[in-house]
Amino acid sequence: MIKFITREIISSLLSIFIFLFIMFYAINILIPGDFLTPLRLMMSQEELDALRESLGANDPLYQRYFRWILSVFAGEITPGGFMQRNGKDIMSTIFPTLQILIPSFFLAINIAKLPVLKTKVSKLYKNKIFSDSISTFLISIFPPITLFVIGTKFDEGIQKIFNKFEIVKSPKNLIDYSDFIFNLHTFLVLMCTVLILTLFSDFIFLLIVDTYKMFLLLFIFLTIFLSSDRILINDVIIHTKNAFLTIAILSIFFIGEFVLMNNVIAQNIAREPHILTARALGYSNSKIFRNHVIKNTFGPFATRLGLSLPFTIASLVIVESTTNWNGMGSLLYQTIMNQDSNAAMGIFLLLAVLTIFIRVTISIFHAYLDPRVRLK
Amino acid sequence: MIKDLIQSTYKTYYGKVGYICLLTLISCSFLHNWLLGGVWPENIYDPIVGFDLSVFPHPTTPSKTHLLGTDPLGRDVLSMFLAGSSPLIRLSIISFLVGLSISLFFGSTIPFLFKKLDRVIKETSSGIILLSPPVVLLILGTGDFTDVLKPGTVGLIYGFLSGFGVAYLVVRSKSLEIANSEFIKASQLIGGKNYYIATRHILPVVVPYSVSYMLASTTYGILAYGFASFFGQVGWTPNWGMMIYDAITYGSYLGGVNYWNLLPPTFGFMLCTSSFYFLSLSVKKQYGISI
Repeated sequence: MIKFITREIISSLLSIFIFLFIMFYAINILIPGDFLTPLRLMMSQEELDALRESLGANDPLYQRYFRWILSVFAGEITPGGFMQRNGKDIMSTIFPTLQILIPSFFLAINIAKLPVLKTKVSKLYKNKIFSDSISTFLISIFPPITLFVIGTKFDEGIQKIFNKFEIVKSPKNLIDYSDFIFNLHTFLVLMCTVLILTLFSDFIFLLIVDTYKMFLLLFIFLTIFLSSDRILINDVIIHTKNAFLTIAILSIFFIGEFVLMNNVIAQNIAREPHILTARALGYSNSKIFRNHVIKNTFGPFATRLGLSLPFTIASLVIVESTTNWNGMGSLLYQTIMNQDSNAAMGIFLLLAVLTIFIRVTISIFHAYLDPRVRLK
Repeated sequence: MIKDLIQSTYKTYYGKVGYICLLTLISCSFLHNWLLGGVWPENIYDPIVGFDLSVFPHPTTPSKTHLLGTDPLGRDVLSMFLAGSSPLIRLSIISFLVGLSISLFFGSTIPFLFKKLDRVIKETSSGIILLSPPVVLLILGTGDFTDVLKPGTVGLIYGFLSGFGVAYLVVRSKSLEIANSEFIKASQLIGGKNYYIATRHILPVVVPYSVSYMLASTTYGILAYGFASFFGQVGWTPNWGMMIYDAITYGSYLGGVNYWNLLPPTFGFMLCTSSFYFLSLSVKKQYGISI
């Protein structure tokens, strides 16, 4: 297992280097100007040229790339004399991105399994035309349209709730919590809401109550209420307004994709002989699902999920810049628009690390469940 | 092989819907050319600079002269909708064909013929799949390439990225799996040359994998182009992204939601993405492709 993990990490690091190399060349060749260009309004051309020379901005690209990589290892992801956004600004977008990405994934994966779980094993091999059509519809909805259609009503609805419960933003002099605590509580509140939604959908569609989810919900509830006061909770709830909207739009994307993936995979598994044998032996519907279908679904699902991660990142950029959520996606959009190549490279690095982290986690989990992957 | 694919996918519900959507889009494109060629006066119905002086103020609701109304800038919505289909069809088809050719040719031959080169390409592909298409379009749009970013060029870039990225990796892994099959060993034993085996025995088996992946990827290409056009990164090409932007932005300036401006491009995007996704689904279902 250690050998497997090491191989995965080394291979992923190589991919990151190649990706960053391509992006560095693409940004520096394709986007006009460099990170010093915004200074042209404050300096003369001679001063700017001298500054460029002293900072090595005129050096060949490969030299600048390796200098950037070295600075990344030294802990500065946006090196340079003039920085519109520094490394700290960029690092501060990690938490907001995770705050919406993890709940969206959790919600989408849980909802996407419903059409398959609602089907009897004997009918699993048939086409699920209704859910497939709805999913294709969800994938093809353009995010700005979703925002336009639900945004105003959502805002009004949330504002009514805030007014009813008298939730208002606390004055600055009363705030005594750190950014980390605030971000952590925001994440916990979002996860809590998503858990309630999934428990509710499980109960409505499958008539089951998942005890693991119940315990997780209880644990998060206790953590929130034991470690926070009214001021913190108020501010967190106000902050989550935009997060809910972002999660809703992102989840629409993911649900569509995951339902289609699950339907195709389950349909192909249902045609396999071991399912037929299990049915012939008289196993119950739930037993066949638990022991034969769900476990075998994970492999192809994980592979497909790993391959579609760049599209996940694409969705992140589109949705975040649509809802103005202050995560990596929207910041990347802004940095590219502002020709801030240094900051853009920093975000590319973080996005690549995030993608690779998710991919390696999926691979490890896959290898843990399926010994054939380990041996291969 | 392609003929078999078309025939077998057409048998499914998904295939039929996909082909119908695609044919509708192609018909829209031809219809626009025909209408603008002689039926519609160009100064009124041009999708970019057209303006109807006889109607005021714009936007107007659907009427006999403007079946889907006009937008806040006085352009005919039906003309814009029909014109918007052409760039997306060009983009999708070019992207699909480029990606398919690259992934099929390289994915079936290189892992089998050049093992060392295959390692290099595999790692490069793993790096390429981290590239997010809308981001690439944003970078190109921010530079001085807005005029060059025609749908065909975007399709070419997108096809290259998808073909050398995800599709290559999928086809490669399937090719390596087939390379260990008995019929390949038998073919090698009776003296079949590696190139012959790769193109005659391996390539036909991996075609459905590449086709299904490229069809699904094209869907994201369409959305990426829509996103780039929504933010004005693709120049003055008639497109649905710009229609949505105009409807939302100018519509709200003029104090109202113009759904007759908003619905046609939304429907267009759905039609276009659904057509390719349904076709991808039909290939997956017909050939039992799980991933």
